Amino acid sequence: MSATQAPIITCRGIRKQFQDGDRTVLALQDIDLDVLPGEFVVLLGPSGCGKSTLLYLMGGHLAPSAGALRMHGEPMAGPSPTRGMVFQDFALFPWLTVRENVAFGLTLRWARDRAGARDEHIDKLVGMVGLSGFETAKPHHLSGGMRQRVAIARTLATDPEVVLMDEPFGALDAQTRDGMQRELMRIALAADKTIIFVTHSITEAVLLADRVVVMTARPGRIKSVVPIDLPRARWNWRNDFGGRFLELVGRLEELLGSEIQKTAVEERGSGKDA
Amino acid sequence: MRTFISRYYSVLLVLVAWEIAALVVNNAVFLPTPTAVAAVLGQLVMSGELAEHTSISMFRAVSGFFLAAILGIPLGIAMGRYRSWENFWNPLVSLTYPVPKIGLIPLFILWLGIGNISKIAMILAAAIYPVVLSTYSGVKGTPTYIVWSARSLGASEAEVLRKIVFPYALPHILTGLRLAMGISWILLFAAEMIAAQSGLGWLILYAERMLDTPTVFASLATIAVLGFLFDRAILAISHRLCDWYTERTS
Repeated sequence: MSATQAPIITCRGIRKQFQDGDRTVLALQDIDLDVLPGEFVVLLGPSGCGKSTLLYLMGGHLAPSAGALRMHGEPMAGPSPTRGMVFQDFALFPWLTVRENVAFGLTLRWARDRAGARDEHIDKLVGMVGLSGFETAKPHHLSGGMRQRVAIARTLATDPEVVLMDEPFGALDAQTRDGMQRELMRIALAADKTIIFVTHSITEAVLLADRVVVMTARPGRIKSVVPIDLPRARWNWRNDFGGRFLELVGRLEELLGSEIQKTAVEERGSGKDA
Repeated sequence: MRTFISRYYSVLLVLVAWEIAALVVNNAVFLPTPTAVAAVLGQLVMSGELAEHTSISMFRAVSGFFLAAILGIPLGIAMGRYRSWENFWNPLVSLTYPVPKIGLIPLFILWLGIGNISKIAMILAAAIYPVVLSTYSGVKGTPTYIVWSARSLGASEAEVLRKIVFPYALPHILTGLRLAMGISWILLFAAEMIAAQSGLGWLILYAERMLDTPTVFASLATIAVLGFLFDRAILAISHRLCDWYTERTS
């Protein structure tokens, strides 16, 4: 990741506002961010800071109110299979089986010329996320962790350059979450993907990221970018580099703490008004 | 057999009560016994009369029903997915929905004559409402993230409609079709009783004039069984295609 490397995703002067009745809510302001190819970037911020909104903008699902989003220097025009998405609530297609969910992207018209190697490719992915034997199950028969693994395999099936993940482990219990973080670490080590990952968990951020982008309370701005100068294989972080890991956690806690306080004050304030 | 009895014993109970009541009344014009009705039904089947009236009625009902489905499902999808369609059609649908369709039968006869066309149009006019409204609300309820997932996997708008919006709304669409089926029968018999020379509705009216109450009941029973069978058929399709929905919500 040399400084001269061309960014894969560029955000310049991004502003996003929503209309809530006759009130205009400013969600994001002055976002400038470059993401390099192969980088694992975590967007960290208090709830309601607009970090998910920023992710949806990068996915092409929302349009910015001002500013420009580029991929490989080209302006983004809507969603694209080069930028896969994984959502907190999995967003699986409930009427399709595990296998059909994973294969979905490759059954679409744009992927016609890829259909050749499809079956093997899908089998491999289903195996990789540990769901062999569940190919014909439908999502409602799976646990939360398994559903999210289907969603991850579905996103990887089309081989996107960038994977955008919106609090993907937020709906899982602590133990499943732990396992999933490790699995994602393994995927990030094995596949040469650019990953942009939204969370409000500081340990999750330090565990996975190359860089953590800390955002302010609403309207979301970039408060600070913290590089995580640890090797990517952090399976045994406690033994291998426990001190540095906790130092980084402490630093992020400090940065985030004041923002969480701001959010709390604002919520109390608006509570009084109502 | 045991499960059959446990599932339908209420029907058997009503039949027995009816039989007893009819025996007490002892007046076949006022209230014939179920066994007498069954005997008349047997005669109507043997003479081929029932098949004739049933087939013409079914042709009218099923034609109207299918037209309602063919026109109603796309309209409901467009209204649920596109704001401009919603804005255009919503007031029209809401305004005309409460109009009693049976009250329109004389008008339809005036405009379209007394043949099959006016009856099929009548059924279409009434049955399309539940199809449109159920499809519309099903499509409206499609979670944004599911659509976004598909878009991120490279789905075009046409693919989103065909592969995401339609299957997601299908349980609701089928509910709408069930309601439409019931309405189709009701409208059909009303139309046949006002202007027809054939069909089960006409048969009822004719038998009433002849004071042939057992035939009235026999026709009503045929209608009930037909409606029941069609409903079960749609329900079976729904269970087959929408197991993800029925299993999740039960």
